[in-house]
Amino acid sequence: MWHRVRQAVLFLTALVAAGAGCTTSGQPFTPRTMSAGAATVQPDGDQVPGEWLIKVAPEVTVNQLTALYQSLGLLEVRPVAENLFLLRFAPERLSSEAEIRRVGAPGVIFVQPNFRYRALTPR
Amino acid sequence: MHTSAIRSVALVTGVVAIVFVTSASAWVSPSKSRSLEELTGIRTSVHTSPAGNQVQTANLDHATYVEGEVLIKYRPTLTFTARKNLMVRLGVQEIRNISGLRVVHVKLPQGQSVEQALQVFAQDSGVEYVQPNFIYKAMAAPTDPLYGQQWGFRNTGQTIAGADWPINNPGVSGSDMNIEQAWDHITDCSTVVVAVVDTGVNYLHQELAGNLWDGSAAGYPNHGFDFVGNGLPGDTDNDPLPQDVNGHGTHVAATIAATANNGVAGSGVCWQARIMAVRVLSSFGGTTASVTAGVNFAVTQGAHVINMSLGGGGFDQIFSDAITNARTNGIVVVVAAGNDDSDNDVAPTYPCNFTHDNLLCVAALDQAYGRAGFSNYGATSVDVGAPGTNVLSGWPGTSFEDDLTTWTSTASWARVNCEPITGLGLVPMLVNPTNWCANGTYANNENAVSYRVFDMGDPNLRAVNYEFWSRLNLQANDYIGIASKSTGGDPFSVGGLLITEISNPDTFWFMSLTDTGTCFTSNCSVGIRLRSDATTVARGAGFFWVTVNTLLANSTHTYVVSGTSMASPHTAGVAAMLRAFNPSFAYGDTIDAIKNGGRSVPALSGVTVTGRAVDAFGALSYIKAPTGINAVVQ
Amino acid sequence: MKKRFRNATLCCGLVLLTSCGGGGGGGGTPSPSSQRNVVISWSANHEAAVNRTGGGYRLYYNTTPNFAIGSATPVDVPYASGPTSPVTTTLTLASGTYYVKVAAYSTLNTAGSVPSAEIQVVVP
Repeated sequence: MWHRVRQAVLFLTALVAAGAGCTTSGQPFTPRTMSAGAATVQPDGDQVPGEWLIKVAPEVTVNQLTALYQSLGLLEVRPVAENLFLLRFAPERLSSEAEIRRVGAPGVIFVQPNFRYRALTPR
Repeated sequence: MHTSAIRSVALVTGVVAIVFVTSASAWVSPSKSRSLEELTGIRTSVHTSPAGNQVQTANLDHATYVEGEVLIKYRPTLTFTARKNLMVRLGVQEIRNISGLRVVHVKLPQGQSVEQALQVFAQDSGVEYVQPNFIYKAMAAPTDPLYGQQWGFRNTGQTIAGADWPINNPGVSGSDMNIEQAWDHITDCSTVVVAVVDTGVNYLHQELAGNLWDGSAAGYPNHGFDFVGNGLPGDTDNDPLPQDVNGHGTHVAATIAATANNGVAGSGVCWQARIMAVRVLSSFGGTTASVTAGVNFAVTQGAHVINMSLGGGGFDQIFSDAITNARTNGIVVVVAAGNDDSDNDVAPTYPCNFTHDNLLCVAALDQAYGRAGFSNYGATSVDVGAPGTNVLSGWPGTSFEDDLTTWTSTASWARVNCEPITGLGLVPMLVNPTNWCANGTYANNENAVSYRVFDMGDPNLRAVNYEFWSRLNLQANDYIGIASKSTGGDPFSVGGLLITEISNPDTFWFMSLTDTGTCFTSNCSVGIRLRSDATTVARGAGFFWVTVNTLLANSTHTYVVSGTSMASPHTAGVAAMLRAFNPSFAYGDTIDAIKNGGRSVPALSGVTVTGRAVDAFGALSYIKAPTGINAVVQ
Repeated sequence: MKKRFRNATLCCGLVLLTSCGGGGGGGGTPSPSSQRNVVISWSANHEAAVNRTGGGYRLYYNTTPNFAIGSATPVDVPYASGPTSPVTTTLTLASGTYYVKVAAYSTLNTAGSVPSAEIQVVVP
């Protein structure tokens, strides 16, 4: 029943940094860590605010993207797939899709939000 | 699907009336019929022939019999010579004479099918009756202890214990996927890799330990990959550890592939299918980035079927491209329709609403094969239905909700019941300050702790996930903190580990902690603390509950859950079964077999593309109409 | 060897007699040369059970278009050996127009598939 409550009521949006300890990567499941995350839960948000996915022309580099989007409050560029990057901006600097596209043209071919997905249970 | 036409014919002699096969039924004498039905599941019916005999007919639709053979009972007045002449006349060769019954077991002439023989032989004056040589096999029902609770596999009208969806529990006998009949033909799906793109999978669970994709050669020794880590922004925790501390992905994976007949828990749809654990959802869900990375991984690493029991709102081009990539590689993608009781044709949800022809979207059925009340539907967007309420399947470990009533608290904490949650009404809380309900404010210089001791000493423990559900209203520089201490007592005292502190929120808050070893003792205390400075205050903190999920090696745990998330893997398992049974199947063959081989269900009519529930044997026995007919006159 | 040859002659002789015996006096006796072989072929089904013992295809033909398959005696094309069932069979037909369709079957589905689309065959 509580599982039902959780999903019926709550959606997650802005997140706050974790406390002590980060799970390490590339290790067998033995490192002893306590990692935490916390988030507000709000009943809105199809997409993660401040995050955009961009498809770029093959010759565009991470450095170029960093330089281009610095002025919009870029926090991070992360490769997702071939010619596909995730851009993360400071939440208080809310850029529009059109702005992202304008700043990045012509190397940035396509822009879309980073949509949210959730498990379809509990109901 | 098949209708049998039965005709009775009075012979020229007028002595005996014979009922013979026209399409797919055969008759047997009444005294044999009960055992026939029990042993083969063939439905029988009784009627009176024109000559006044009671005859029982059997519907052969799903019977199996030996091709090229029949059993003939000759008329009692036949002499020895007449019987020999009968054999010659019919062109058959005797295999064995069952003399006490006047029955002879014969081999048919080359090229004559059993159906043809039944039609032709029944008309011979020397034949009293003729029937196929049926193959008798016990139905392969698993012996697992909890199999009887898996109504989706066999619905006997049983009541499901621990149900979370009360409607139609118990349901209606026979409202199930007809899977036992399919298991008579195939149970081993070890040639098929099914990617579970989800919260991860507890690959140490006993039901799954032998049914996992071996990715070691490709550099993935833990049967998959984790694309989402703890789900926080900036978390670059992509690692090959797709363990499931949430439970959802393990439940889905076990529905598809849980080992049968191992004395543990229940069974999966297709035993020994190779599960690929692709973690794209954390406690906070997933995103386009994590989900599409996961789909592309499954494609690259050779999955044959992908299950996605997840959904989101906007049309997502990048996600669409990932499914196209799967299609190019011949992969069947099975997804859940959503749990908002809404029409996906009107309010699209993805990936369900994608229109790729390698994608199947599944609604949830309840135990009476009604549409589950929460299940989305869509006449053009949702394809089929499958069991989705009160589904028992594997779970990573223990799971319980703690309502904080047993926590040890300092004086400024109190239990109250004045805070509503949408859909639930008032829910009790542990609050600080004590006059929360009267809109009080907490004290300056506060240092209020509440904690509880948990027994986390199970040697099989590999991870624990604590989720705190709260309502917080704090000023800047005032904090709610969480701490743990492996030696018990106040976790904020010396020797404890301060995990996190949060300031300045004003809304419902959800905190998720995952411990992979710091507090694995039998008196691990976990607690919360309200800490305020000397100036300005706000409303305070209230905690509804804390869920605690453990992940155990060698887990045998199960859980009963509802959702379209459960309907999807029932279907993905059938897709795997079809792929294992038919190595030549392309994705289109699998999808056509599931859609066309399903069983028409009134509740799905007009609200799904097919109006059908997934039927495992129906899918397995479905045959496409041949194509490409060509004639050349010589 | 000799015995076999004699039997073969006897067999073929019988066949000749039979075909010559169509119709009694009067006209309208079709001559053997008006029969033609028509090779029907189709694409193989992918179902494993169609392509093993107990599986195969049934070919139906009639002189009326859009006929119900229940009204025609099928030509059985069963699985014999190897990886697939045969996907071709030869009909011997007198001149005329015929309509042909094919269904597939297996031990799991003895009634067989919905038949294929119908094709028209003109035997001159």
